[in-house]
Amino acid sequence: MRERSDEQLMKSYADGNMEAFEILYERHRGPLYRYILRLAANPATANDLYQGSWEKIVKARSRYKSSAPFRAWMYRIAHNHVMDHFRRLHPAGNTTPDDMADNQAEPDEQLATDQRQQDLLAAIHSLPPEQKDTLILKIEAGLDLQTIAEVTGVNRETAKSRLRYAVNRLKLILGNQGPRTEI
Amino acid sequence: MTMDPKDRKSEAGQGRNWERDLEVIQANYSGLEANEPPDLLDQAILNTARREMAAKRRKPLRWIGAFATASVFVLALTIVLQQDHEPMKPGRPNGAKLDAAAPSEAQESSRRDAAGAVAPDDGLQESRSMERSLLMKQSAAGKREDGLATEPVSVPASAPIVAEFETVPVAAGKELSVDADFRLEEAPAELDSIEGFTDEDAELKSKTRQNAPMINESAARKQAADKPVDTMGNVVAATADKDESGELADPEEWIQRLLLLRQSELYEKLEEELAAFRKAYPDHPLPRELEN
Repeated sequence: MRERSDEQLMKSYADGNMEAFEILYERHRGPLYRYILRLAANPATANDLYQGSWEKIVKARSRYKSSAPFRAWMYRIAHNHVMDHFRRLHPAGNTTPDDMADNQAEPDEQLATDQRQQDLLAAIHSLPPEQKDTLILKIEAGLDLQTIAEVTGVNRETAKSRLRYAVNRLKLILGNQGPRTEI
Repeated sequence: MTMDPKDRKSEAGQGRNWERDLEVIQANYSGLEANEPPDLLDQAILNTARREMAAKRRKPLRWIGAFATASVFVLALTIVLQQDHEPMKPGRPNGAKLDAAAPSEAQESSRRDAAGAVAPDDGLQESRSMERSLLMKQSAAGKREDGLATEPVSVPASAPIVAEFETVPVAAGKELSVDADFRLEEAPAELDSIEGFTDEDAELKSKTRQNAPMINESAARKQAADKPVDTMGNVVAATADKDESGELADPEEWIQRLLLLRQSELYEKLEEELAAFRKAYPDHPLPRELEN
């Protein structure tokens, strides 16, 4: 039996099929959670934002049009939810990388995981929010530039530029940390 | 400004470089621990989704409830409006609900005003009060004597005085009736036949006899001026030329009424009635008094 697409499943759920939602949730729970976790860095905040994002998706099901790609729609809702959260925390201006860096993983976890991965995560956390958002949408969610542009509400060139800056910055940070991290 | 081919080459190389670097980062990133949401969080989200689904299913019931409430309200409103319109139907005088036992205050006051305007006579009022007391005594005596069905009719407080006389049982099974052409002049004679009066009532009787013509005249004027009143104090008909069923009155009765109006010197009313009579019975002969 052929696997149903995300769009079909979402439409089916909007029509009242709970089973369709369970399949859809199972498909996207991991990537969406990690996307939010990388942005928030703090697991507790990430859990709240993750739950809030799915609640918004559930509530917006009747407005979903099956002609639109589901992943772009889902990440857009999650992106807006996370950005709203940080705007509420810092109403005066943008969230700075330092704000994000405060939400580092627990020290115990750091010791338990591989140092190289920790370095990479730390480097990602140090990126400016827009660059980090774009990079995670690319490497975690696997979205193309056009979809990233739609999700973040910018044009394609801006999204591409952010991604390039993010990569160059990571290269710079990880290159200065010695042979542990190779790019 | 044109770009140097060398610069273009180096920029293209840089472009390829960052894309390559991105691939390396992506490979390193995929080696990271795959964090998953906690199971409790999964359950909470799925429960939320189920709840929303159930709420959606309940929505039509709420709509039906609201619709039913609105329907009941509209139905009630329709019934109330229909009841308000019912008295306007033909067959009821003046389009007003008239309680047989108690005419409205407004009708009563207007009737009193009319009566007062016609005969503002102290003697008449005194006579009325005397008669009232006599009648009360008579009815009480009648009750004592034989317990016949001549129970005192409970005259409504708002009923016109004329109606009181109409319902007075003079003797067992015999009643005065205004409908029978104001036979109040016979009342003094009838008073003699009432049993149960004591001597102290003799003065009242004589006064009543003296005032009888006045009462008769007043009652006649009142009946002519106002709408006719039946024995229960009801207003009989909206117009003089038609009875309750809407049919034309008997011409002879009508002529009697016209004569009464003439006698009462209500010439305006007489003119109107006469015109209506002529319209209804153009060929019916009129008495000489009315032809003038």
